[in-house]
Amino acid sequence: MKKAIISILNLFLIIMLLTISILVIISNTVLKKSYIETSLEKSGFYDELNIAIQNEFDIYLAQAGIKSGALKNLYTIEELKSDISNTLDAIYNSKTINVISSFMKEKIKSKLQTYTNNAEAIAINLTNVYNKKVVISSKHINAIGPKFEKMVSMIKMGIIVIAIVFSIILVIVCAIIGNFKVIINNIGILLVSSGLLDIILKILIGSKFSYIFLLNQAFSTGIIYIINNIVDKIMSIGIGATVIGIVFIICGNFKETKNNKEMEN
Amino acid sequence: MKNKVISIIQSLLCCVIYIAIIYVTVMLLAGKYISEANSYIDLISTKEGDTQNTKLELGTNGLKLRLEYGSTYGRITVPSVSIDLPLYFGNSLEILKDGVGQSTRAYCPGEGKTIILNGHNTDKMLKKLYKVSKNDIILINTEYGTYRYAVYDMKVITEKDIEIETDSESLVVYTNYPENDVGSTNRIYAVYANLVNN
Repeated sequence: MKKAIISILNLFLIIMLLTISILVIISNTVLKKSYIETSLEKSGFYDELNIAIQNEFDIYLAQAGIKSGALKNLYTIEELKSDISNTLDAIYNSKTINVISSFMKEKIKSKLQTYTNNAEAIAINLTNVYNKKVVISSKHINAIGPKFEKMVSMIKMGIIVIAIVFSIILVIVCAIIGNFKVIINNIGILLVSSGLLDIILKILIGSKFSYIFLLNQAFSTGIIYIINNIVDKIMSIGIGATVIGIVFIICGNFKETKNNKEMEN
Repeated sequence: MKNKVISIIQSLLCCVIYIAIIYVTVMLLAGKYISEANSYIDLISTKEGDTQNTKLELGTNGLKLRLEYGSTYGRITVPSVSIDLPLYFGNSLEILKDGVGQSTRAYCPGEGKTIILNGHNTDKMLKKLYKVSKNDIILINTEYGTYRYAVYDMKVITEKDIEIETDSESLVVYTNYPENDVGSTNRIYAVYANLVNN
């Protein structure tokens, strides 16, 4: 009966360990603006986005009968990064996005005036193309901010609640077991099981997300990088937990108590 | 020592049993949702290998032609609306600046299945596709033969609605929708045609 209760409680503890490891990773990655900015940089998102914007400009200019390259050097990659940072601020810090790159319309107009009498209208349309690529939809981005804040606080609360419940159940399990050697062994089993589950998650997900395409190539590149990075982190934690767990199991089976030694002697 | 090793192995087996119980429980409780999630991920994924370096060797009817991604291998002509454009293998944005692109996920003329072509809705490209009518002829002249298709339908769809594995050879040519929208659009204006002769 005691063993059955310990087994059931262990199953809960393993699930909690797995959940808490995933939540901690998510709160230190996806929920942090600095992580997203670094990931976008490493995944080549800004270059892809720049190519996508230039291609759309070229299509528009072709329709207007203007040669491609007329808008070369319209903006720098640093200015593009700054605009993306504004978008992320709207999401992570609930700042409202109103206008992105307000200088762009005037710049486009001045560059196109030598090619067409319709520079004003084209400038407005191209500025909208740029804003759409950088912000996608300011209405949706501005709406995400408060929901994001709520999600962050829910996840942080979740981590605290799960940690408290985990600790209580672990104390109950240890009290039922009673024997220190067996407690060490049991903790080792918990760590190995949840560690292996983390590793299995990586194997199951694997390269599943490596070819997704959402909205556009730039966005997809960023998303793929972030998802794969998070899954790799989960696997690293899994490997660490498995190794530490095996050490605990070995110690738990080799640790001699003073009483046992005296009995053998 | 032997007992301790056995004890360690028992502990590790215990871990495996716990993992199996959790895995089976999750699959029983949430298997349906996991399966739906997998289907959705497949739906939004491009196919592995659908890259710039794809080459296709045609073996149909004794043809031996290696098509390199980004190369031009023919022309598409629609006499009724004066469309006459180069045809490229692949449909990246770079290719679409110069002509009509062919989806590498579908088939080539002569292979007996669906061919998917697309181009920008600009005056120099496929804007005139909106003026194509039923029974109009679309000609595809390739390095290995000329193929003639008769238009039987025109509709507004999304790219994912196009069926690739068909029983007979058909052609789908599409451009952006609505007619005056530029850049990326979710919906497309597609013209469907069946092979008449080659």
